[in-house]
Amino acid sequence: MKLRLKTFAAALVTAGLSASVSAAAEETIKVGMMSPNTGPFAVIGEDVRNGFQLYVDEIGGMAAGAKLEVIFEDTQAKPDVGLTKIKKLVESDGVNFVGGIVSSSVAYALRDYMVEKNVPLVVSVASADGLTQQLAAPNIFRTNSSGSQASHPFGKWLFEQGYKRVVMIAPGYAMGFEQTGGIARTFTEAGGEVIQSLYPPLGTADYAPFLTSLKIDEADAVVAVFAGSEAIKFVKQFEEYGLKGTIPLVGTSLLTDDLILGQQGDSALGIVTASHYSSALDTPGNAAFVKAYREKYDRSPTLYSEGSYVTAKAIHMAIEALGGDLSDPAKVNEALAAVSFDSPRGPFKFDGYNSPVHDIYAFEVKRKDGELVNEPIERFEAVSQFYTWSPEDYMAMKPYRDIANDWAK
Amino acid sequence: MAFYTIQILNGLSLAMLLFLIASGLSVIFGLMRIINLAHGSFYLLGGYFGLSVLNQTGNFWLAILVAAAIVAAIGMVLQRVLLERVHGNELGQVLMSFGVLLVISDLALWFWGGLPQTLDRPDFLDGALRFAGLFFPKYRVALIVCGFAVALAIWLIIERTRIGAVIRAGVDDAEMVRAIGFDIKMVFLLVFGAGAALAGAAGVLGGAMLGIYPGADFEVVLQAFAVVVIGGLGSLRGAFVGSLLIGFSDTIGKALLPEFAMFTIFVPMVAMLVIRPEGLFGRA
Amino acid sequence: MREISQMKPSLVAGALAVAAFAAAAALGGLLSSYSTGLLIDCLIFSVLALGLNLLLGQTGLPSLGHAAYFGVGAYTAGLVMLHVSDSFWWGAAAAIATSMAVGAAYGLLALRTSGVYFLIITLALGQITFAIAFSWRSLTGGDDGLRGIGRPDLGLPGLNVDTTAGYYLLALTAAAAALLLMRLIVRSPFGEALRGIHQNSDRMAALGYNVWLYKFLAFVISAGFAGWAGVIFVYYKGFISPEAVGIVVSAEVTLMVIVGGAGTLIGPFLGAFLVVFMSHVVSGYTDRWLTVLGLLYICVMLFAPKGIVTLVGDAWRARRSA
Repeated sequence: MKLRLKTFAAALVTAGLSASVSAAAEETIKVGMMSPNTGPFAVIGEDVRNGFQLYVDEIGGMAAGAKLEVIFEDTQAKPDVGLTKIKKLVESDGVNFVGGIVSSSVAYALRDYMVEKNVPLVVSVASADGLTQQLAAPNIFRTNSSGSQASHPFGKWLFEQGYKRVVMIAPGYAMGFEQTGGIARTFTEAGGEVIQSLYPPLGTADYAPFLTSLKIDEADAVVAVFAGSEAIKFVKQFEEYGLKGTIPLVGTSLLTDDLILGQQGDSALGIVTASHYSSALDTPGNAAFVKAYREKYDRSPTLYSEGSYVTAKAIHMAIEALGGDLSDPAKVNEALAAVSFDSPRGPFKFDGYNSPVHDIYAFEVKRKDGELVNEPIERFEAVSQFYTWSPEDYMAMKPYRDIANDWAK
Repeated sequence: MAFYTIQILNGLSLAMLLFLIASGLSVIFGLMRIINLAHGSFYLLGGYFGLSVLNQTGNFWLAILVAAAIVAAIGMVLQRVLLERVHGNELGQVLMSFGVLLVISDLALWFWGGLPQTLDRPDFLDGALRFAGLFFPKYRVALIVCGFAVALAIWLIIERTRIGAVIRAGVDDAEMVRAIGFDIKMVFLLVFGAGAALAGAAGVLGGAMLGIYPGADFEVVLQAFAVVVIGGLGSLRGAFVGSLLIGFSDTIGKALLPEFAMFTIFVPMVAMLVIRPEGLFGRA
Repeated sequence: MREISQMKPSLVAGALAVAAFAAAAALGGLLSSYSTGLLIDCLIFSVLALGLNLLLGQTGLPSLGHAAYFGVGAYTAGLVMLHVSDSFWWGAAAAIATSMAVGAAYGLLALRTSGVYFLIITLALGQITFAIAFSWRSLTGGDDGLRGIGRPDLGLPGLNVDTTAGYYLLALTAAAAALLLMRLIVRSPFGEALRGIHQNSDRMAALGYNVWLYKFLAFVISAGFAGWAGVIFVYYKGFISPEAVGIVVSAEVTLMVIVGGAGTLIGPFLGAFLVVFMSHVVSGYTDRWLTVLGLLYICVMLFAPKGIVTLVGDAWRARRSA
């Protein structure tokens, strides 16, 4: 309540009159947490807040002897609103770090402002490749995979599993282009062939017309990338139209992530996806994390909550490394970039562009003890967003979002 | 050939779902001149109430009935308490109903959570029909049949019953109906409730086909408006033909020209408004 | 004698306006940068609402797609900055011209309809514009939007718009210029003709006015104001994405005009300030802020359909005559 009243007051113009409040140095360290609380992305926003709060509670709300104060703000998943909110956090609340961010368009909109202010921004979910590639900056970090990061090893692996010809279907915007692009690149380089790519637009109510247009007779597998309600629709309709069982369905994590898997039910059984996290992972850190998360929120963690948990941990580790002295922005950025720790997903560290280097898994949806889970079936060790390329070579290639229609022959 | 057969069936199933929503929207407009954006909220609420009933009882038909009844009640309250007060002010109605849409979608998010949900359909409608090497979900066949049945029923009510005659007269001239002694306000209320009930039932039926999730209200109401505009505001026949046209353009158009898929609804809508603002079957 | 009595009120009003402007300008130096930023948001939407008001309040044409011209202006100014020149004037000129051109094209289509159909067609045209912004990736950046748009060069020595306070002065001046221009338009014979059309277009036609042409010009001018708002928006935010073009923004601007008072000059400003501040204050206070915003829509239509300015004016007149 106190926090809310403060936010309330801060938003009033009058708050500006006392602009010269000097923050009481490092007795309290403030972290802004931005996530969508309203609209279609609200459910992901909730996971993001939960994961972050779980970690903060685990460390008793203290970091390097200072009190850690978390200020949550609603981005409404709108870039314009996100920018205003982050200005509030930085200029009015005087936060030392900002975490969260689900939508890539919001992340892009904040990027320049945060670089100018040089306050560390640790993105928990938004996956836009460019954020930690062409637009990388010393104070911009990301804890979840970049758009095509999990796709690269997966595409090659698919070829090795014996698939030679695939059809691809993904939403017609950047997320879909990046995730399918990564698969298409390594799959075709290995010798495979993409024979068709379909990109249903935003707001497609019904996937039936696309499903029935897929050239499944000529393909060995369907590669699909969808998220949220679209993923539920797609997976259910894939079964309804008799495709399930006749052709394998593979994709990226969002297609069957732990958040929506329960809603997809048995339709999802057998789908193979690539990602860095599922709640079924058998790493040293995951069992305790899943248990604590379930106890606190009465549901399984997702890659959104885990990503946000890791965000909190990265920030905490950096504060500890500096002994709580956050006075030099350059040192704060360096300390963050240097963190390296065990997390629920396994070993975690940043690459030279502040995007994670972590293990990628192929997961298969199975039923275990009555529950549907994403069971790991293959591990690709320590994968970075650049995969086997050098950063320079990689970034010299055209971004996936611009070449989505070039894959299909 | 098989491709087109399946796409036509796809188009038909979407069209019938749209018709359930758009028919009410259209008749309500014809009678009361209300542009009700909150009609999408009726669909959303129907889906969610249906979900709650389904989770409690497991009975799909009961879910449809209860959802339709609750949404009808909400619709009638909305009509009496809010929309009627701004009668004659078209922009006022649009903005007020937009406000209602915001409130309902936010409260639904609060109450049912943001997780996209699917409604379990009755067992006998699970699975697919196979004929001539084609594969088509049974549920969609049932939806198509249901859509035609509802269309026929509404047509019979409007063309062959006393209340239907009053409604037809009201669409032509509400003042006259009042003048010959009918309680036109009661007719308004009942028709509004019936339209809301149809949209609520559509929420359950659609929820079992497409899922129910935050934002479904807005998607649906924009499509329904396209249907109503193309068919002609106030015309039941127009709503039916409009549903077919939008259903087909949205499925076949998207399948054939995916690059232009975002334009399959609004471009036909603008074209119709420019060429014939009153729509195919509307009266100017 | 008559001349002096006519002069006086306008002189007083002028002095008041200058004082108000000076006070508002001084405010930028006093407030925190975050509060100043919110004021800039308010000013941007004030200009957009001011433009819509010419259609809605003066001419009686309820457009529900005004975010389209706002977006076109913002995208154009952004593209000029990214690919052509960082001059504010080039960007602004190109943006206003493009907005007005799109407004002319849409106006030709929309003015074939009237009443409720006009509402619907402007909404549909707005959604088509949104779809173009979303789909034309090579030009607009698609869903990611255009980013990396820096602050413009005004070519005026001593004016630094890189800071929030500096930009506030620019936004304030831009809004004041828009207000003055709108005042001129509204008080001109053209503006009177628009109000005449609003009240009774048949009579105006009978009097020999080309009603269609007046409506069309109002539409195009209104789009120009929206484009101008887009310019101030994009240079301030540094990015533009399809969300800014969608129906949510269109509806919100319409609400601003109505809350403040359609047909008044100051109403759109009041409405914009109220809605922008309410969104930010309430959303910091509760997660259920969309419910509050929705209730605002409902309550305004129920209790103050003519807006605050009209409401206050009526109350004042009632007291004076009592």
